[in-house]
Amino acid sequence: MRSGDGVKPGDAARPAEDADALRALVERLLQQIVPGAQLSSLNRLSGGASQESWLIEGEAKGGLVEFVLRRAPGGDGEKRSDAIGLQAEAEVIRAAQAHHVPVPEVMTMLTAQDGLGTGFVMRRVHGETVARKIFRDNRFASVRPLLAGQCGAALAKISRVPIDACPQLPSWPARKRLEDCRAVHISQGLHRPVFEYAFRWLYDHLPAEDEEVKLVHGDFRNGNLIIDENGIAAVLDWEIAHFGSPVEDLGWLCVPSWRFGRIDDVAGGFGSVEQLIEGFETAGGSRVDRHALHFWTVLGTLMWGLVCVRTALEFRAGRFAVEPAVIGRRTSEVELDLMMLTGAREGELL
Amino acid sequence: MRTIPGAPEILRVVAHYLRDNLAPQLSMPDKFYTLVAANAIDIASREIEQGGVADAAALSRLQALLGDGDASLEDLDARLAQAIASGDIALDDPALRDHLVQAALDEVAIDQPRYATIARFRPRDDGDD
Repeated sequence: MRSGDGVKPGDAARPAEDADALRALVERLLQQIVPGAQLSSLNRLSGGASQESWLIEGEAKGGLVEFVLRRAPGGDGEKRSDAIGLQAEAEVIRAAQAHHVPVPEVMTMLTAQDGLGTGFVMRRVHGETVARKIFRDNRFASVRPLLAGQCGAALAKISRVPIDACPQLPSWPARKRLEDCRAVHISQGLHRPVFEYAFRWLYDHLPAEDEEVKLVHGDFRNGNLIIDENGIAAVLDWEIAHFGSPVEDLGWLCVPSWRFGRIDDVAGGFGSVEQLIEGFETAGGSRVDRHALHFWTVLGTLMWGLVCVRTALEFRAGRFAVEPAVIGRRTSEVELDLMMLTGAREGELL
Repeated sequence: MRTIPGAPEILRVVAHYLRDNLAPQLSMPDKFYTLVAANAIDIASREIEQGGVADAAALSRLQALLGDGDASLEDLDARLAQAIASGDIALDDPALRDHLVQAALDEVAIDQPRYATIARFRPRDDGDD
């Protein structure tokens, strides 16, 4: 999640790092990317417990230069269990860029000599990531009707990145994804009838496996897209990229929680399913099976529900902060959404 | 507890203080966390006011559904989960769906009373709130 002002540190506080030492290291890094550049400011953008993003602004002969440093200070040791690591993430972004997916250009990978942990530096892409602003601000008024189609087109391009251009990534076709979720649910140990209902529905509606797996972004939704006046300027946050069905990304975008209150704009709050599918198919994506899309939307909703439950359990286990407590209470929104989606006519999204 | 004001009233004024008095004076990220805290207090306040009624209604629906007049809500929830997982209850059983939808609606009314999906379950002639 990203906040409007880009200042939303994770609740797991990290010991303070020496700010001057950090600046010196970043300045040296900046000069490797743009010889002669002077660091003018360094600001923390966002972060989870394990990864940090920093905005680097500098003065160079050609004028202002702006980059984003994405790093894990202590290496990748604390990364999400399903995350691919920063090295692989940078490689996926490069592969996506080579195949015309809008992404921030990766300038350089961090090395041990940089003294900054593992990570990489991207060119800064200007625009907005906050759903509320994208839906309301006048500057997006003319592009808003196009966004659902642009999401489809970007996802088609992602699905067309050749597998052999990507780093090694896990392969999660539909049945594997569902079984992994089932294992997570059982390990969480809570008896939630709606979750059981959704699991049964999903096993009853498993789509036929795709003949070949494709690159899947894994978290393509409002918040991970930089939008400007022309539409999608960059797709961010590739840390759970994997191989699987491209319909997974389409379904994840349709998860009701990612519609941010615009419940009738099924495609991520941006527009209709028809616009999304048309954008996908027109840009060279394979034909979208509506039943598979319904399946992946229900599974995506359930996956978000498992995150809510996990957050509640982490809170009880000692992650003693307000935000995880409130996220835990979002489980009920997921249950209502699951009942809505499983009550919809097959292949049709409500 | 007969001394007034009651707990929900106290929580409401604390949430109001955090949201309308304190948060505007703060900058990020404290402002953000203060608004989240106000939100959390509102959830607790609504649970105190509405939770008992919601649980009692869920209990009586579950007792009818599973034919057991004595078990607790927790036990019945676990048994219903088991019955769904094992296939003993059909997914299209109207009483099952009715219970699950109603339980979810009652909980969302506590956790997020303005959540968009609620409108999808309102009768059409209800109008806007």
